[in-house]
Amino acid sequence: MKAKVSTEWLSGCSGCHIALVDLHEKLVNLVDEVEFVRVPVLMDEKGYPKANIGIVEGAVRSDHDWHCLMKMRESVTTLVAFGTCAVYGGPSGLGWLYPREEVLATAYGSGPTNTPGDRPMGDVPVLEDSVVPIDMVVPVDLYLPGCPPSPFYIAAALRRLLDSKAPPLHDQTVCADCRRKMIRRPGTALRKGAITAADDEICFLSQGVVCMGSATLNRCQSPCPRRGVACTGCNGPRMEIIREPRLDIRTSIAGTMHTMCGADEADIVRYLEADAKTYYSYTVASPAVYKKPTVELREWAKSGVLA
Amino acid sequence: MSRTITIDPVTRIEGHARILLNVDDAGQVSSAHLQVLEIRGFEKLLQGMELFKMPLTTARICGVCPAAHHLAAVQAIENGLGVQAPADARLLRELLYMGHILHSHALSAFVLAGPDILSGRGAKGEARNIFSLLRVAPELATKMLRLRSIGQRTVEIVGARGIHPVSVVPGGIAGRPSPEYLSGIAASAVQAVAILEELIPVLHNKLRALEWVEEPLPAPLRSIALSRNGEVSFLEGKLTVADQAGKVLRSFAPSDYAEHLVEHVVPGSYMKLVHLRGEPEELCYTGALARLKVNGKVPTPRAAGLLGALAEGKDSQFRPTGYIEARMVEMMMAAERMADIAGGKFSGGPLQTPCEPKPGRYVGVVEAPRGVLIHDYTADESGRVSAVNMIVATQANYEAIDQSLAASARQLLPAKDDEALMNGLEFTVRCFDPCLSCATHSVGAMPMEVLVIRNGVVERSISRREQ
Repeated sequence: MKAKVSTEWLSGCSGCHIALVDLHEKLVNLVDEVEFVRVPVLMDEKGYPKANIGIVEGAVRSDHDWHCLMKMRESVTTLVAFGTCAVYGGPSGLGWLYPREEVLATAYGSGPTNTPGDRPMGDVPVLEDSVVPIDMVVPVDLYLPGCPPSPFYIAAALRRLLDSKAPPLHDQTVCADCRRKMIRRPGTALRKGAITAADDEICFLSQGVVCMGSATLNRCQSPCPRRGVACTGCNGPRMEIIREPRLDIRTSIAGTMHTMCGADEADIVRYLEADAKTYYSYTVASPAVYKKPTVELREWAKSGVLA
Repeated sequence: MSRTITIDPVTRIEGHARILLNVDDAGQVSSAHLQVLEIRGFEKLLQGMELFKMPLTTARICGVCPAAHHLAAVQAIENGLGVQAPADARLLRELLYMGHILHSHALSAFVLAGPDILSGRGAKGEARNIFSLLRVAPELATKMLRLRSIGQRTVEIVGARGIHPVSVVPGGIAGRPSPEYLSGIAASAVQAVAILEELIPVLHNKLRALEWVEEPLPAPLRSIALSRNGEVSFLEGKLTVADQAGKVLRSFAPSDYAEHLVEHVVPGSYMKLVHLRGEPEELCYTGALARLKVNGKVPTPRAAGLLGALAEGKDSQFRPTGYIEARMVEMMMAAERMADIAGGKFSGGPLQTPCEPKPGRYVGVVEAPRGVLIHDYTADESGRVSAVNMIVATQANYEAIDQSLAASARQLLPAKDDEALMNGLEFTVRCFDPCLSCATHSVGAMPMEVLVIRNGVVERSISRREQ
């Protein structure tokens, strides 16, 4: 009997669903083993049929998201938080930083093409007070972070699920698949705001550019640093940072970076805090990140805007 | 006494939406509205972030057209700084972008709306999706998916990632694909041209066989698109507005967009519509159909041939299905350009012009697959973004979508066939390939229902929702 797969999208970008289509030829092969019973981007099924595997993309932003997620949980056996928004809140989760009225006031009232004071009206879904990852609402069985999850890891996870095995937990950081050499270059200045570096063979940190690779779980095979763009941490933090209360994204990066380029560790930490919106953009809404003892994301985000 | 009908949600589009029909006493459809049910509020979420991170972060607004946001952000930064990327970087960007257009149009024409056209209007819901096509017409469906794969693989090779590419940076592009990869793209692009030559007539014939009657829209619609030397252009040019005869009415620099465009909220929807400013304001449409209307010319030979054949024996009326035909022309153009660029010569010169963030205003415009996409940032002394405004294509299509829905509903409602009504209205929406992820800088989907409301009271509900 074919395994039934059902998917749902909440507050996200639909990229995780496109990632499923990006299995390309593998998708065609899957059709022999899997019956997709609900895929809103591809099919007209509008209800929630029973399924073995449920795949949820996106965070919970509105009462409508909340309702759909409950329906999904009731209808599936194994629920997968699929992609960084579902797992950590993702970019959608940046809304966690602000009261919802502040988000609406800026989106509807302040731009040069807006009419001041305009607000959504009539029967629209009500935004929840904040944005949350899906496991704040329902129990989740499996987490597959990534923005979106790379086809390699999707295929591996689906393969194991179809064989009724738990997918293996790879614990490596993005550095594992990066070809750049980590060498010490003491005396190198911190290059705030940079995303590229001159030398394609040497680690970004050695060149004073903040790359989040050393603090980020490898669910991507490191395409960005390999091509010449510093990692922005879109898979979420490495496992040790999640497990250890004393470890955090900014201190983890600052420690490694200080070793590589010699820049003052406290300076790096202060910079990452002032630019918290940039460096925590994928994970702000996750308690695994914001509940760390010394982390004050809402405060940092404010100071960054004022700075 | 009036009533309202709602279809909720619309599936096989990118985002959460429902359709609402207002019906008067005589049972005539007075108006139709697409309602978009999600909002993320990126104008707020991006405030305080570093300017040079915009190309990376804004790509995540949309998983269907990330390359459009990625490029719009970079164009904005380069326009603001007065920097131009070196020649090789511009070629590679175009290569990436043509891959993106091929992926997005193939997704729309073949994977999302394709099943409506290929399976026919009478087909049941479970027969109208790509999985069912894979079963009943595996060879055809595999080719359709292959076309999209070729586009997406090109984005992945040049952009380092397929969804949410990262390689385009302010001042140029980070790294160059190896010659082996480039010749691989060139070979795939030649294959894409061949697949298109086979598939386009099939889709055309099926489209004709639908006997989908489209009545002309009552209000005059203006087309808006980028134009460079009167040719379809995705990444450069002036914003140009034309009437249905193709006559240019206004043309302006992207940085002047706010003098020409205005947004309004719509009842029951998080998506704002866009009008052309003026007394009175004018309604517009954008995307593949508008690009061809405004420009009338495409830069590659096979696409030009298709465009010529398309125009034969047609009046100049606006028709939603015209989008599907226009996308076929543009897919061919994309495949031809990919073959030309990847198979052609690069100078081997630098890939980046050095640049640093400065305080100032940054406006960039690209033609997203669905039309005009505008990013507008203000950066402060610290190189951070202090204000953001975005206008996305589907907003500029909002009026055209609503009017087309009303026109379809006027034909479909009297037959009292609920299934046909819902299918027909959804098909009308899919012609526009609306991207609601972008439109509210958000996304999602819901079960579908049609509500009939008279005097504000729900009179009847048609639903595909599981009870």
